[in-house]
Amino acid sequence: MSGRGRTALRGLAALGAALGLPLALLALWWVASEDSTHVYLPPLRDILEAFGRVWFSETFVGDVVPSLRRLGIGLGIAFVLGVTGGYLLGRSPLLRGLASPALAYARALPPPVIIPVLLVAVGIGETTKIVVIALGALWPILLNTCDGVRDVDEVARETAAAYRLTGWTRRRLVLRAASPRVFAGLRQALGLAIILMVVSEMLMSTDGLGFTIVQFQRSFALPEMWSGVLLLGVLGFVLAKLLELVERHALRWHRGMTGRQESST
Amino acid sequence: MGTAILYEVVARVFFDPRHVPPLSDTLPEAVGLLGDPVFWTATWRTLLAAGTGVGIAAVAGIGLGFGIGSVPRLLRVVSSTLDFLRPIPSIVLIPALVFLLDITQITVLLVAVSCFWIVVFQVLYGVRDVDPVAMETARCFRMGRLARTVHVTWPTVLPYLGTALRLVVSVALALALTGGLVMGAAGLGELIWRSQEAGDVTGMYALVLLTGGLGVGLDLLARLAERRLLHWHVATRPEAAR
Amino acid sequence: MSPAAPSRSRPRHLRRRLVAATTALLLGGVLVACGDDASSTDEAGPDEDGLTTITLASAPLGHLAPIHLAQEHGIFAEHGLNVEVDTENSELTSVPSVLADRVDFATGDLTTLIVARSKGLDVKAVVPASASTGVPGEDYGALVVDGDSGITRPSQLEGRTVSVNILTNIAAAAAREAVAADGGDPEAVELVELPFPQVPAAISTGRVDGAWVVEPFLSAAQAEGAVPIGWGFTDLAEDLTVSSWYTSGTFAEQNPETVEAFRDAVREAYAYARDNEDEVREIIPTFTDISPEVAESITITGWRDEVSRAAAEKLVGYALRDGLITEEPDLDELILP
Repeated sequence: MSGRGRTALRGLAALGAALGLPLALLALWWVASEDSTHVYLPPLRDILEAFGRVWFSETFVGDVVPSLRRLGIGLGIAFVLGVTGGYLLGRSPLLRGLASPALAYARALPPPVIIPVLLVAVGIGETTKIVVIALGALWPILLNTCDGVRDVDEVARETAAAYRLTGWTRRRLVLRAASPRVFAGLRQALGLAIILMVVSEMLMSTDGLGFTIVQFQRSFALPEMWSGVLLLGVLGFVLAKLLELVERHALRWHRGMTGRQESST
Repeated sequence: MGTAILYEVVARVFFDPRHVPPLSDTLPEAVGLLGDPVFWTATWRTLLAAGTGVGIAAVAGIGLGFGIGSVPRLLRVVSSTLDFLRPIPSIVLIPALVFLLDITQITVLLVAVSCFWIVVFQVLYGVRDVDPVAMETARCFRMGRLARTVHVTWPTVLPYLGTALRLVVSVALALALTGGLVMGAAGLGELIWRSQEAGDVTGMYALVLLTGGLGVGLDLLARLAERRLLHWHVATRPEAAR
Repeated sequence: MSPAAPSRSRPRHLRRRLVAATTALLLGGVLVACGDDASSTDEAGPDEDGLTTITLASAPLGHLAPIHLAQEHGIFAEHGLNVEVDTENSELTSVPSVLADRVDFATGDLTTLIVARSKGLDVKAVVPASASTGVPGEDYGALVVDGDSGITRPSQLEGRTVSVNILTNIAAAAAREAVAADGGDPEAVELVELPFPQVPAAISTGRVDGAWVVEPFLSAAQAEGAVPIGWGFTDLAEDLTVSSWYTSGTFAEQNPETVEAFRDAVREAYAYARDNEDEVREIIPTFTDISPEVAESITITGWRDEVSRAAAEKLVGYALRDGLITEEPDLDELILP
């Protein structure tokens, strides 16, 4: 009992720490905006009222679910491509030199420039939105993995040579050693992917959270728009927490190997 | 060069030249733009907005990242708020921001906010990656907090910052362009928007071509800067020989 | 701190505000930092040479040609105005810019203004910025399909995808009405948002079945094989005001003479533009990237002197029908007499 009780208590404490500041900020916002007459900055009361009205309805299923699906697929593709590409680039200076200009070129183009090209290439369906999300979320994962692999590769190569390790064993060793960097990239990519989800749904959409927020904005339904922004924040928070759980699980060995304490971020 | 040939083939095979013109059409147009002072003014404005934004983001992101990252208790309290704010696209805040700032400043802010997130998360992850053994050693040597940060934390975080630098330059450029595309902020984004609004497809792609080139140039600079910063670091050693 | 000089210099402790706003944003209190900021005194008074300076939000769009003609021919100066054109604007920022007093006049389509008014935003329509030519078959906006699609009338678009530039504006109303006027059910048409510049490619590659589009993209789409099957504007109303110059209620109240002078100057410019179409076509390439050849051949927007009350009433009805608004706005409040 005592062990379980302590875990529960620790969980509560962590939850309290996590929710304390956001709640305090919300309270501050509530008080500051209480008698706001500014049409673009409605009182938080109105926003929360709109939140209940808009998102606790079929809108949630009709808009949030498709958005989450796009987000999941896009981020998944970005992860696979990012880790594979990052690993290959990290291993080979030659490849890095060859591919860097093209990658830098692609990175510099914002979605509003890419979307028209995608429109002609892949049409206006789900594919375009997923491609936009995947393309944008790819870079943090790719660069972080590439740099992480580059960091450990030399050491790993010497180690592997000393122990006569070959092929997959060595690849696994390198990727594992680089995994803190991979997760840093994934964390970056998650935030970016949510933003890109909204951006990709601004064009040629008929559903989705981003689509709904933009429609509210365009029809000056501002409390409703802000409620959508709040929902995005909640979504980001929940997904980041999930990612953290995965990461803690995946990096247990890393902390164990290097004597790091259990630190919750 | 290979990329150019690939693009040419893809453009010619898959696309109608009226929608995605091949390089042979866009190149002359792009060269023409290079002789146009309007283009250089716009480039300068875009770079200025991107640079200012990056500056703000670097100071705020590194300061906050180290500040929050070195105090575990503070990190536990603040991280949820960071996760909550991270996914909010600045684009939906633009109409409200118009009441506070002019379009140029909003563009700088868009860049700064987007880059700030990249810097702050990279720093936080870097701080977390600090070797506890090294930290303990430093404590045994009676190093103060500042000395520990300078001699232990900073070297660990630098490689993470190197990656952040390369991410940030392209994000800054993309966001500065977005400011022009969605708000008409003066700069390259606005030129692209104008050519879109006029249905001048070739002109638009010429601008996109040059913009991408600018991105490549900035990336090169960022990689050089990273090499200067990290010349002691194992990852960049083989690079230095090239 | 502020990279380029702001387009207008009102004393606004910019640096302090930028720092405050940045901090506020980063700390998540974007809302906490700012109360009601619309400056309540914006008296536009004459300067030393007797001219009153006004700022217009402008975009590189062909229908604004008369404004540039008026600048060229000194029509604004005759009416005691010195006009500054602010090009750092887009439809995303124009309403807040007017309400926040960054510009004195901007253009917006009538449906958007009706929605804004219905939601309690204090906007006042002063004088049309563009109007339907009123001639079906010769208007500057149309509902188009690909020539090989086998679709010949708007009602056949039921169950298909049709693009408009914005779902909550007059283009969407026009697209729906073109279908309704042909006996079709507009509800059965799936409208999607697609910016006008992307329409020619989307139609010719079959990404959308139909599109409601305006010049110069109407001509561009036709050059790629698209055919107009409905007009929309003329279905909405006989004398449709498409978009209008508008200002904020505060500005109109404090500067009635300035608003009056602006309206008179614009009307004079329209009279000139109607009589000198060749000059209109000549001036379009100077402030947009539209090439002289294209400017020669496109259908020119209509310009009218009065914001049509009858058309506005119809648009209110459509906005109610399409669920854009739930309560009728007071048109007396929206349209300046």
